[in-house]
Amino acid sequence: MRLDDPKFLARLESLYLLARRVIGGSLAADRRSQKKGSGINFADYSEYQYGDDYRNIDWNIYARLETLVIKLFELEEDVSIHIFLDISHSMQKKFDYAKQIAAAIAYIALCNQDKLIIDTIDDKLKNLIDPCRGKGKVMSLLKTLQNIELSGSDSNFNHSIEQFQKRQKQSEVCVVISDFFFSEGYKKGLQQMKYKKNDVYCIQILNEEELKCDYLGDLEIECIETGRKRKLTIGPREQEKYNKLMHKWNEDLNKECSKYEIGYIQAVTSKPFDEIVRDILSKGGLIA
Amino acid sequence: MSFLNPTALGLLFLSIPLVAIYFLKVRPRLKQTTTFFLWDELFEEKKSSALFQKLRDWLSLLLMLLVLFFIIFSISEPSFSGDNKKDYLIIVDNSASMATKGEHGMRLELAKEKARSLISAMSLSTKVSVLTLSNGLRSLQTRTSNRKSLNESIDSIETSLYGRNQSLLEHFIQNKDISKNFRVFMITDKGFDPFEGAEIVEMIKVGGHAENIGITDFDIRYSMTKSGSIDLFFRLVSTYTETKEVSLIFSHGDEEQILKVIPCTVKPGINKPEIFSSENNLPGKYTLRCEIEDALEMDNNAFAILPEIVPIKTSIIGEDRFYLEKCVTAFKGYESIMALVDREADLTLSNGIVSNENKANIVFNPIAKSSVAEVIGEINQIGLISVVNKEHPLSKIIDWENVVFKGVRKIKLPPSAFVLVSTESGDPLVYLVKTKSTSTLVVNMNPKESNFFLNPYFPMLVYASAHEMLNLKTGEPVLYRPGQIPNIGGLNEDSTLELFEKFELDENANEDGSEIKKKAFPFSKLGFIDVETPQGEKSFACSIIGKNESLINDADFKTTLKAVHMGLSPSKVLVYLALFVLVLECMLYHYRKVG
Repeated sequence: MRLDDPKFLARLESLYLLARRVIGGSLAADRRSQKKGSGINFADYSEYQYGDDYRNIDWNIYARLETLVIKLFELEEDVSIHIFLDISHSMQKKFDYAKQIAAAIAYIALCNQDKLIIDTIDDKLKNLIDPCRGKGKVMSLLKTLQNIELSGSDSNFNHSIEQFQKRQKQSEVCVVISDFFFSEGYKKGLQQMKYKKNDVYCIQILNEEELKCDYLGDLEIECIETGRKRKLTIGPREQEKYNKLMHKWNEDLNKECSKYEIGYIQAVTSKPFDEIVRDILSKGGLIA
Repeated sequence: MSFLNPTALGLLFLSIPLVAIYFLKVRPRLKQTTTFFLWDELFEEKKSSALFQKLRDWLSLLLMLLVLFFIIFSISEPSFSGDNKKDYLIIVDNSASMATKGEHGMRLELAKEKARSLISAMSLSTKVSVLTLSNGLRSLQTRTSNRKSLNESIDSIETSLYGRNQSLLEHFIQNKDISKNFRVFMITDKGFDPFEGAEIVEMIKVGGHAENIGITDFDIRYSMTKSGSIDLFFRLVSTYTETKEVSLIFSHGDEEQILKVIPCTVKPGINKPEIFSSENNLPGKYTLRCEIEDALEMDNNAFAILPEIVPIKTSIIGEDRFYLEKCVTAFKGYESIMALVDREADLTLSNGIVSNENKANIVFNPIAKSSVAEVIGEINQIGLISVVNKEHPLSKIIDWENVVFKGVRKIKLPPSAFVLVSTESGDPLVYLVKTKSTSTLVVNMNPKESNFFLNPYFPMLVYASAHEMLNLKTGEPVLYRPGQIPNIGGLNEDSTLELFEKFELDENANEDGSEIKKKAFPFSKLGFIDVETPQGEKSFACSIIGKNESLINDADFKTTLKAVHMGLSPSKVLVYLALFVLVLECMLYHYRKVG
């Protein structure tokens, strides 16, 4: 399905409506932040510290406990949503799916009046969509996404994020859409993403073939990105080992994300993309 | 090493297309992957089998080439032994001693196993003939390379009751065709006496030392010294290394009523014969059983038939009755074979008077004219005596030249007369006259004057001529050994005669391919055999396999086998190897195709 197809747009719209129900407003900068600040919604109490605003002191509590306590409110801020889309050749069979998820997130962000930036990752970082805002940018965004093609010879996530890190000025909500099959690893990149207090979300796109090895016998295995080849005879033992390695790889990614307080969701291509977006919405944090 | 079929090595050129096909066709499937780095880890783990990884592309080709080479070499029939060009002639001894049971089983079964090993190991082009040797040399299979037929022939071999006839083997080996074209294997338990051509026979010994006691001689007779008793005679042989005490049970009849239990001390080797008496003189079946469990069972029993004696009813006519009666009654004490009667006699014994009315007649000193003798004068000087018919049974037992003939008369012989003894001038002295119903022996002498009544030949002449004329058999054996042919007239040949085969090589066989056969009586088992004869039902005893068979050990006999493969032939080994490698390649192929 093309991204500028009306049916696809209708699906994006229904996702946005769902997002609105979760968010509960349509004003600019009304994205609920995890940070505390000067909003109107009560969030928590905190012990008074030198320099805190007197107006936020809860005098009722002081009357009862003789302790100065200030009220904290949810910070309502205007943030940038920065999507990193993996366009390396390893995404070949999952690329449409990844683009659909990227389109859905971008659509909701634009409709929410958030600032949106889309970069692509292969062996280096490339800018796909310059910072933009507002629903009017939707069609040009979708066309750009539609026309993007796979590139690169050996994707390098760490290097790409390093590039992003160098030019970043303020914290952002970063969404990485990738299979995270980086031979150089991803830990350093994830770590760097957190430096500027970014809210980071990883959406790992996988297909069934990758999750489970279902081929047997003599094979010449070729790396889809580098073109390297090796001959191997795959038996049940090799199958089992591969499955274990794959499971461990995904588990490690999940653990790393937890470690750095990065949101993580695994999206298998057999599942419709809007279900994945609904999951993201229901979990909250990213776009709602 | 040599090849019996070297031309097959030319098939090695097939390896060229095999290699070509391998290089052109065998390529693994290409599979693109997004997770090459994960597979890399697997490669790292499999580094220990790096050699295999290097060889993996060549392994299938190597295995298939091996299969090809094994098959081609198998067809080429490699051989490591000499005399490759000769066919095999396997002679299996199936004489009675081969029924000996030893530690490893029956000797015949061991022999069959050896024969199968030879057949199994022979090259594909070798042809084999299988024979058995006991009392005859019997061909079971002639010159074939068909393993199935050969093995079936081997399986069909059974032990016989007969001893081994060495002369047949000797005669057989003389055939030049045998020594030229065959390797002759004799699988037996005992050696042969030296004979010409024995060196071409490769002996294969089966069976080791075994312990056996056997009855090798057995006879029973009416007692001559004790009326109403019988005497039994037997001999034992032993292969035990020490003296053994055994009991022999002597019994009578089908029910085996025990008459005597005879304790015996049996020494190693051939023992002295033993003679015992038994208070029983009933005719019929007698069994002597040796109570011991030993290696050979069939010689533990001996069977015999004591015949019923029907005395010859004899009447006396003429002069000197006393002598004639004494001659008859002389046989009374022993088996009562002659009895004096006044009438209804079978035999008439006369002196002076010619009587030829009975079935058998013996006439001494004929003086009256009759149909058997017409006296025409007297002879004073007879001169030398001439035995006209030396082959006649009477001539064989009586030395006529030492008999004194006095009172001889000149006699005109009837046309049917058959002269046994005559004077030099041709006057008959002893002659036989046979008509349709009567037989008469005329002895032309005066027995009293010639002192013939006191001559030991007198009763012998009476007894032998009576049996001859009455066609009675004398001295019928109480038992027959396996292979002996009893004389039974009028036997139904179709139903009771068995055919024994005589081995001949192809060129000596009958034109129609059938083998020359000889008829014999079917003693197919030891024991008593009841036969329907024209004279009525008659029982025979078949017993005693012989001392050579009962003495089952031959420590001096050694295997003289030249280089020969036994078990698996090199060709077969190669075929099995090819199959093994093929299965290996199939497994590898399967593993490579479907893991």
